[in-house]
Amino acid sequence: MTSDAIPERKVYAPATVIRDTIQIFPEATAARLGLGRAGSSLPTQAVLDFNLDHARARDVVHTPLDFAALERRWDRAICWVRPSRTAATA
Amino acid sequence: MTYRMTTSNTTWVFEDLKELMAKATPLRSGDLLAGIVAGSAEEMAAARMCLAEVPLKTFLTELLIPYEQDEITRLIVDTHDQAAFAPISHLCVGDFRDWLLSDQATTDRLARLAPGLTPEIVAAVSKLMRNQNLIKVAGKVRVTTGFRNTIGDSGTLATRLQPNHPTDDPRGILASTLEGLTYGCGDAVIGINPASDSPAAVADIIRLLDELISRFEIPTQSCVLTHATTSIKLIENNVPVDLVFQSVAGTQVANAAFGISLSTLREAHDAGQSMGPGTVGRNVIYFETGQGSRLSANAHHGVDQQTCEARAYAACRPFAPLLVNTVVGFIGPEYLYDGKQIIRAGLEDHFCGKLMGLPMGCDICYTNHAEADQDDMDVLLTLLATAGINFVIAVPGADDIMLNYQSTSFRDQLYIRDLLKVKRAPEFAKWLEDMEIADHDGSLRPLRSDHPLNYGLPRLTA
Repeated sequence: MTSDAIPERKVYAPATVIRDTIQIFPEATAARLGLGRAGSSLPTQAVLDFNLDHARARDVVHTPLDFAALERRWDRAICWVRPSRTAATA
Repeated sequence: MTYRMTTSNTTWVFEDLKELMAKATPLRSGDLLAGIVAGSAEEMAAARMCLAEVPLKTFLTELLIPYEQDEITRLIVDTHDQAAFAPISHLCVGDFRDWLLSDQATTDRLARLAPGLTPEIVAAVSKLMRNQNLIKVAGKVRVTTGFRNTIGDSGTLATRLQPNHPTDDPRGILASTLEGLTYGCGDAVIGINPASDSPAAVADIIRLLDELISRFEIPTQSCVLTHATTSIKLIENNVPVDLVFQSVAGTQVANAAFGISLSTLREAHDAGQSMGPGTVGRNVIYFETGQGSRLSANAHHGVDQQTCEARAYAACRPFAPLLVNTVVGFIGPEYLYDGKQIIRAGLEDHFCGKLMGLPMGCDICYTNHAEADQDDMDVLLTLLATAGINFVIAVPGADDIMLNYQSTSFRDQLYIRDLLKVKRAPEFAKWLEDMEIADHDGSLRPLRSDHPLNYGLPRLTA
């Protein structure tokens, strides 16, 4: 990489990503709108954001349920039902 | 009937045709869960060798699910077209594979053959196909349907615009819809999975989409994916339903778990027809299917999930649907474990549906607990578009915030159009050009700040 590579990238990047110009109510939905495009593809920032969100969802899916913590929190709440360990969770 | 195959010093015995087919099936977690897979890699290879020698005529007499027990079996047997089947009736499964791959199997011949094919025959031959064979043969088949536009022409790929919202907020639905339209999405259907199944809430969304389509004179159709019986009642109350939706499975018991039978589908079809034809055609049904639904309803009769899926296409066939969508990865890793299994299943479903004469699309998708990600979706999208699939899904950012799974996006369809030069439905492409959203060649134009779509949102949600 040459020393002038970085300023060059700064100059070119904003013009490369095509912004979405349809006017929408951003507060109306959490859908991934207004991400723009690089050519016909998703811009880098949107790819990285999606990747992070998927990574978090994957980590959560693979985290075992902490029954002890759940029961402690349940005890603090006034609740009619306590979590029970069934055969499926044993 | 018992089937035997000897490899070296081992003789493998398969008790009946459904055991043979299950053991010949490329491995997937749903069949493993059902306990019907081959016990070893060699047994699977032997099962395929044995299946290759089974005459196609056998599938017409050795029924996997008994005629007396299942109305879909009865439909398959009673509507089988012997004259269409005649040209291949002398072949065994392996020969049929070779014929399909040969230059003799032209687009016209495959179209004429479709009524002569049963789901069990196409499932069996698919088990002997490699992925490239599934792509090559499906690519020769054209199934064209129409309502307000023409879907499935050679060289075209349509999209279902899927602007779901977790609370059915009309502003949220419209925001996603309008952005999707500016990306040239929505020619297959603007289709919403509603958060609420209440008929009044469903009717509100249908009216919203109807007003949008009417106001901008968009040559497309809407669908709210609610139970067929709800759509039938809405039609009776003059709600402007375009397409009637229903999920369909391949056995009578599994369909009962969905709350339907073939007679429900017949009523749905008649109700849809009663609304009159679209501007270019009268295909008024949108079906969704997917491998594994039979097992999840415990209704598979020991038949492998891919064969059950092909039977679902037999259930769709009499009702001339506009769209059949195999929602391939939605059911989760209990049925299709990872990207490899999802990709294989997507190619199988498209191949089997197309051979049977159905307008196949695919929701190329996965859930967060599957061993899959967007890279796998890129692969399957590229393969299915190469195979000539009729339509795919376009959901904002590939992330469905209502159903909580990942599919393909507005930009994914742009990528595949750029790569393979596939066009949108012709009437819709013309509309995009007239609206200055896309050029004649289909590439997107910068949207004018005073573009009419920019004024659509406030009025429609007022």
